[in-house]
Amino acid sequence: MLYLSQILNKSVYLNQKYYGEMIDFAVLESSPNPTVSKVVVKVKGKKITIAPNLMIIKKNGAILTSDQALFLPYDERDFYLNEDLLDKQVIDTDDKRLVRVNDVLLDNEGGLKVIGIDIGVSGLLRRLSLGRLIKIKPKILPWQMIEAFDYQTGNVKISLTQNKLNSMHPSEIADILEDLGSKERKGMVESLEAKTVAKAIEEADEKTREAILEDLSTSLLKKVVVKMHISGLADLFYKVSPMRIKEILTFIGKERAEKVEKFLDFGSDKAGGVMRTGFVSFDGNTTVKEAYNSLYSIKPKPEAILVTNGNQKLIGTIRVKDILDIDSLAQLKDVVTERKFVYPTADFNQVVSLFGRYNLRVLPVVDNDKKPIGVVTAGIVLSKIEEETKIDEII
Amino acid sequence: MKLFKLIRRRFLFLIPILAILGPGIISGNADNDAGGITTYSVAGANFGLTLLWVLLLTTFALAITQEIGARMGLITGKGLGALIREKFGVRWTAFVMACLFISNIGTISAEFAGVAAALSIFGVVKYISVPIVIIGVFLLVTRGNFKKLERLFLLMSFFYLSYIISAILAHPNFATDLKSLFIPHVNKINITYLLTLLAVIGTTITPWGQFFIQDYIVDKKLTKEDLKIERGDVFLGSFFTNFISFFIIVACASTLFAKGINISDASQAALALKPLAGKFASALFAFGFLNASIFGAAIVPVTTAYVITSAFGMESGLNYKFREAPQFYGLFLLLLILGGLVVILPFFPLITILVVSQAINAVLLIPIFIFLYILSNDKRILGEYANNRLVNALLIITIIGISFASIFYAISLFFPHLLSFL
Repeated sequence: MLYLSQILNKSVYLNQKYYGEMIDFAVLESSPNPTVSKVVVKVKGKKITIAPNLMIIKKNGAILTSDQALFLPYDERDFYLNEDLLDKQVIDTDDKRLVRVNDVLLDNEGGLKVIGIDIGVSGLLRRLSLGRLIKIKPKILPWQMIEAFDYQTGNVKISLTQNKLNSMHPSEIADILEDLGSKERKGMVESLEAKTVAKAIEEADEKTREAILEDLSTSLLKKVVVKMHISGLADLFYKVSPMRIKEILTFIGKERAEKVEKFLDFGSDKAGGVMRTGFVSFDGNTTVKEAYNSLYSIKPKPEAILVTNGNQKLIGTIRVKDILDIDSLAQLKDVVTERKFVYPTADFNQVVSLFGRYNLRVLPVVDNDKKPIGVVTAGIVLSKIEEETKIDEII
Repeated sequence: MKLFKLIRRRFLFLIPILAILGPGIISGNADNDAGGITTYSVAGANFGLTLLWVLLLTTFALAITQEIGARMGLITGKGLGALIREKFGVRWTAFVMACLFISNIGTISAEFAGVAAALSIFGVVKYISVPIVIIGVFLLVTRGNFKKLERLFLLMSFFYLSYIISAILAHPNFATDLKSLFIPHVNKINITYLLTLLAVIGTTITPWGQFFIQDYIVDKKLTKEDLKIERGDVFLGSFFTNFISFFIIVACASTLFAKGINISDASQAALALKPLAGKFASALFAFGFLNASIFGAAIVPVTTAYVITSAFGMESGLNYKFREAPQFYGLFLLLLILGGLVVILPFFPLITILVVSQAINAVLLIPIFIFLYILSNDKRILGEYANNRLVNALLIITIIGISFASIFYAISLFFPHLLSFL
C-alpha cells in the first residue's frame, strides 16, 4: 500500500541515473478497482507517458527497467489522479459539500491499483511532510463508494445509496465502516439493508460497533438488533450507553433479552460467552426421514443437528450432510456421530483444542442438566481467534 | 387602482434585484468595522484631509477585487480557498491560509479592541467586557439564528449616517474636501503617516473580505445570469462603504484635526460626533462602535473558520452540528479566544491594535492578490469570463501600489532617516 503523495513529483531513475519526475498517473476503469495505465513523466521539461509495467514504483521514487521504453500517447481525455482527482471536492448525491480528496491510496502489489481516497487530516499532514511528526489514523473512502466525476466542476460525487455496497460481503463492509468518518458512516449504514448492517456490525471492530449502535436512528436500530446474534449483542452490552441498552432490550423482546443477560454472566472467554443460541435439535426417536423433512423448511440450514433424549438431555450431534447417507428409517439416537459437549463455563482455549483434536464443526453447550443451551460453531471459533491475533495494520 | 397597478409593475423589476443584492453591500459594510472606523478617525484627526486621495484609489481597488471575487464565485460555484486548493495543492493552500489566519487574528483582535474601547466609555473595563462578548458571540453564532441577526446588525449600521450629518454640521469646506480626493498632497512623510496610509488600504480591502464575497455568492447559489446585477451590487457596496469612510475622515478632520487633537482613546474619537449629538456624542459613538465591533467579531471568525476548514477539506459551516464539524467550531472558538487575548494583554494600547492590525491586513493582501490574479486569468477555470485587460491593469496597479506602500513603511521603520530625503 502506498499513497499518491508518496510517488507524485518523485524521481525516476534509469541505469542509476536521474531520468525524470513522475507528475501524474492515468487510470483505467476496471473492476473492482481501477488500475494505473500510464505514468506521466516530466523529462527535461517535456511530458512523456510510460506504461507502468516498465517501471518499478516504490515509495519516494521509481526505477525505469528498460530504456527501450514504449511511449504511450498523452491523452487529455484520460482520467488523471493528480489533475482530476487530488484536492477535488467530495460531494454527496444531494450536491452537499462534504470533504476533499487529501490523498489517494494505492495498492502496488501486481500493478498499481486505486483502493480509495484519503479524506482525513492524516492525508493533509502527509502532503505537508508532517506525516512523520504527527500520527493520525487515515480516513479512507473506498473506491466502491465513488459514483461519478463531474467533469464540469471537477467535483467527485460519492454515493451512499449504492447497489455495489449491498452486494459486498459483510466483512468487507465492516472494513469500510471502520475507516469512515462518523458522518459518512451514518449515511452508509442507513443505506444498507438491516440484515447486512447486523452482519457488518458483528464483523466490525469494537469501536466501530459501538459507534454505529449509538448513532443509529431508533427505527433502524430496531430492525438491526433483531437481526443480530445474542452473543453479538451481549458483547456490546456494557459498551453502549445505558439508555441505548434499555432501548435494545425492549426491541429484542423479553425472551431474547433474558438470553442476553445470561450471556453476560459467562464472559467472552468462556464457551457460554461465545456460543450462538440459535440451533436445531430433534428428539432421539425422530427418524432420519422426518428430520430430513423438517430440515427442508429451516433456513438457514444448520451444519449439524443436536439430538436429545426424552428428557431433552443431549445425546450428541450429527452433521446434516451425513444424514443423506443414512437409512431413512433409522432413529436419530442410533446414528449420532459425535458426543462431545462443553459446559458454558469451559474456557475458550479448551473449546479450541476440542475443535482441533476432533475436527469438529459444531460443539454443543449444555447446562447442568445436560440440556443444550447453545452451540459453538467452527466459524465462531475462527473469527474469535482472528480477532485475538489481529495486529492493527499500520500503513 | 390603475395607478397602483402601474406603480406595482414599475417596481416589480426591483424584486429580483433586491433578492440578489446583498453580498457586496454586506461585505462592504462589514469593512466599516471597529478597525475601519478607528483607522478613518485616526486618519482624519492626525492627518486632516491628506489621506483622502488614498481612499479614492482604494475605492477602485476594492470595486475591482470584489468584482473579480464575485465573478469567480458565480462562474465556478467555488470559493477562493477551494480554487487555490484545486489549482495549487495543499502546500500553497497552507501558505495562504496561514496568511489569512494571521491577518484575521489581527482583525478579530481589532473587533474586540473596539468592544473594549466602546464599553470603556461607559466605564466597563476590558477584562470584563471582552470575555463576556467572546462568550456572547459564540453562543449567538452557534445557538442563535445568525441570518436574522445579520439583518439586525445591518439595520443598526444606519449609525454611520450620523457621521455624514456631523460632517455637514461641522461646516467643512466641501470644495477643498473634493480637491483632496483627487489631488494627493502630502505635508510630511513619516512613519505614522505611512502606517496610517497602509491601514486605510488594509481596512478598506481586507483578505477576509476577498474570501467572504466569493463564498457568500457560492452559498447563495447564484449563476451566470446574475452577473450583471451582482456586479452592480459589489460596485454599489464598494462605493457606499467608502462614501461613509469619506465622511468619517471629513468629520474627524473638521472637528479633531482642526483643534489639533490626536486620537489616543475612544472618547476622543467620539468627539467627531459632537456637531450632531452634542453632549450625547460619546453615547452615540459608543453605541455605533459597539454594534460595528460585535458584528465584526461574529462575522470575521465564522468566515475565517469556514474558509480554512473547507480549504483543508473538513466539514464546515453552521449547518453542521458541533460533533459533525468539530474542527470548524474548534477553530471558531480558538480565533475568538486568541483575538480576545491580544486585547486583554495589558501592554497593547487599544488604538494601536486597531490601526496596526489593519496595516498588517494590507501587507498580507499582496500574496492573496497574486493568487487572485493567476486564478482570474485562468481560461480553464473561467473560460470567456477570465479577466479583461482593464481589470488586469487595475489589479496589477493595486498590487504594485500596496507593495510600494509596504516597502516604504518597512524602510521608514528600519531606516527612519532615509525618508527625510524625500
